[in-house]
Amino acid sequence: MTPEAPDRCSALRSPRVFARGAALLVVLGLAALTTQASAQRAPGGKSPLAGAPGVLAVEDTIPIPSALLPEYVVTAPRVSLDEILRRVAEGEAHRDSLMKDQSYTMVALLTYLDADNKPATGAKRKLEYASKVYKKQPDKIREVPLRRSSDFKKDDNVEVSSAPTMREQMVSFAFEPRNRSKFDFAIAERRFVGGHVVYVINFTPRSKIDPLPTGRVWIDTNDFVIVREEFWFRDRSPAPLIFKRIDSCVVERTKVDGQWWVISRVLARLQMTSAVRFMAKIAKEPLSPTVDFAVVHTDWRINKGIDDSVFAGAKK
Amino acid sequence: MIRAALLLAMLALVCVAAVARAQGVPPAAPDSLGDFLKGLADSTDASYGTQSVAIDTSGLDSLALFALDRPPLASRRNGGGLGLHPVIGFHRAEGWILGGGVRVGSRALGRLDMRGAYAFSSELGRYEFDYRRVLFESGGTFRRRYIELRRIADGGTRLDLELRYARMDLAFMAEHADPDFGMIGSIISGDNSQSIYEQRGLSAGLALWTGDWRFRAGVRDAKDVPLPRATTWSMFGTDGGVPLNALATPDDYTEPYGGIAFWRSDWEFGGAIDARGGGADRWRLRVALARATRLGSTIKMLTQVEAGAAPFAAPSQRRFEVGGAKAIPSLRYGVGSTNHLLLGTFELLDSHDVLRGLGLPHPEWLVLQPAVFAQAGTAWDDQRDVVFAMPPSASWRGTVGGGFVFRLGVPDPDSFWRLYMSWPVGPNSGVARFNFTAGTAFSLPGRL
Repeated sequence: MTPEAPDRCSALRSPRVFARGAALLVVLGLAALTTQASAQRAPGGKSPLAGAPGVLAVEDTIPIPSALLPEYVVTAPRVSLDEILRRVAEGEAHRDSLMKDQSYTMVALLTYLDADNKPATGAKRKLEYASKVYKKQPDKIREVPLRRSSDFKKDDNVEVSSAPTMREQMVSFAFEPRNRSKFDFAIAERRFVGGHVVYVINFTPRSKIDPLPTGRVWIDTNDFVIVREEFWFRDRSPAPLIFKRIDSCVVERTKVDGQWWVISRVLARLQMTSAVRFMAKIAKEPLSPTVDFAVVHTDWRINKGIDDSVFAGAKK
Repeated sequence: MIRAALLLAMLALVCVAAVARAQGVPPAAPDSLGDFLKGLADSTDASYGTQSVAIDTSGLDSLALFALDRPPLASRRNGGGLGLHPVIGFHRAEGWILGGGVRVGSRALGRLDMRGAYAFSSELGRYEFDYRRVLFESGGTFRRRYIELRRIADGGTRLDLELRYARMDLAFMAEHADPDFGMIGSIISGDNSQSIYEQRGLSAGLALWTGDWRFRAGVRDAKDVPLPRATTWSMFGTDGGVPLNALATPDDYTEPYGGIAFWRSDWEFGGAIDARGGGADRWRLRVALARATRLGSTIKMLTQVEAGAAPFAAPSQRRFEVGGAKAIPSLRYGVGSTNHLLLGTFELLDSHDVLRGLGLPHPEWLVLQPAVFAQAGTAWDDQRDVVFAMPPSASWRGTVGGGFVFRLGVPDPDSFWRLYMSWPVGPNSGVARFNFTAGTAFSLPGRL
């Protein structure tokens, strides 16, 4: 209860009304708590969909006091976790299949800093690279470098390039049909945002032996498309010799032309081991304890038509 | 009455809001999904800091506008160019082997790897010309190193032409051999039992990767030459501790070869069949299957089964061995040399970091995971030239052991170093032995 509530109650003039209000308050509180408790039990319940696992969302809707309004029984089956996972895989595949060509401007940044369990210090921009990327089905690609500035002694050691595919597996890897069995999924939250129902789903690898990340995704259930993803390797590294931890990877998507969800930004914070820093020092290319990597995609144009001549002479 | 009703309604709203706030629901939702996502992006910016996310886009628009007028540029590293690398080796049949290699070409023209080296004790030259070209590719562009590590994308296909002319060293029972033929052990103590022979000749073949499958077929015209021991040098060992090099059967042949391999990542199950001909007593067939099984959230069991068959009178370099770190580690390399093989390995890997669990100070990169294993196998001769034969029950040998696995994670996430102690089980199973191997989780099917 908030501090304002007693003030409001004290404003009541009639002791009888005050008593009735207090009783109502108790009833409302109990009703709200009961609603919350039943909502928390829901994930363990049985799904109304045949064959679907019984994991449902935790309610975040404001509970309706049954003392004031009539009770309605909702008979429509709520979407289950398994249904969400299946529809996301289908939604991503559908999105990929409709893309015929695309172009965008890519900017990549590499920043050295020290942010290992402390506030970031000593940030230094090591690389900035910008290019214009053209892609066309089935696997045509042309990447035109626009700008490159580097602080590396041997600049050739660092390369940024795009893959010809239009699939954005970085976003959907945990939901790919082949990978789903390797993760445990759980609905963490459901939110209503401007006419969209957004599910937040956590995923964790089923086996700690596998070099797979833990993370969460935000799914817009209007399109069943992942709109944002965060994942990390905080408790174990996929390559212990190189990375001490991968604190965070963030993949953000944006909607283009009111239709296409595409990656707008990828961020990663990598904590490097003393071993790889020692090797880098021997190679006279010192490495900082932390490396931040950022890629931004702007100026998206999708299915606007790209002539095949654009790709003529491009290296595959 | 009306006033009381209004007050009650107000009270109800206040209480509901209070309960909702106590449950952690934000008081006001964003107007649109875009605002909601922007709010999340802003919090990401704050956690990363502006130094890592601030992007200077000035001038990019005009640069991008005329991007297509610029000539296409090759990739800075992979589009072509020259790659030089040293060749260093040591073996008791060759002595020190020193030389160099160069890699030329591009993806469009194909790549040619050329290596030349000289073996100082055997006084033999070694050379290798290896040309590969992608003939067909669909569903994306796949680097060969990745697809060999079972990573071709769903629906992807790649067909390669492979031409090779070489005079090089090959190991007996190459499927169980270390990639460097035990060079480190040879240099330090001389106690390395892996034997090699020389193969000189030409091969031409095709390799097709499609989805979960790999098919390989080709023809080889080659001459196999035995190599006697050429040196007993080692840094700390004695001359008597350096074993003889097993002698290959001299052979000159033309043969077809082929293989089929399969890997399903979601089943964590795969296998490979390799066959070669050559006429007369030269045929050789080998099958390996591998499966990973999750036992709880921290343990995984790796199971591998291997079987092989060859004619009774097959040349010695085509026969099967059961010793070595990848087969029965308590046995030395060279044990067997028979025409049939059956082998099973079981390994339990745990995810815990042993050093951290024991509270021992250690560098953060040294993550040692405990592992135990049991391996059993038999190599036997059957005087009939048949593929299927029953092994004599007395020929089985076994070993158990345990140790640590160090997951390197490079060059791919599936790369391991294994440090094991193994003990023999049953008769003729060797002696307790320390083993060190580098490779992938599934060593028997090999690279696809």
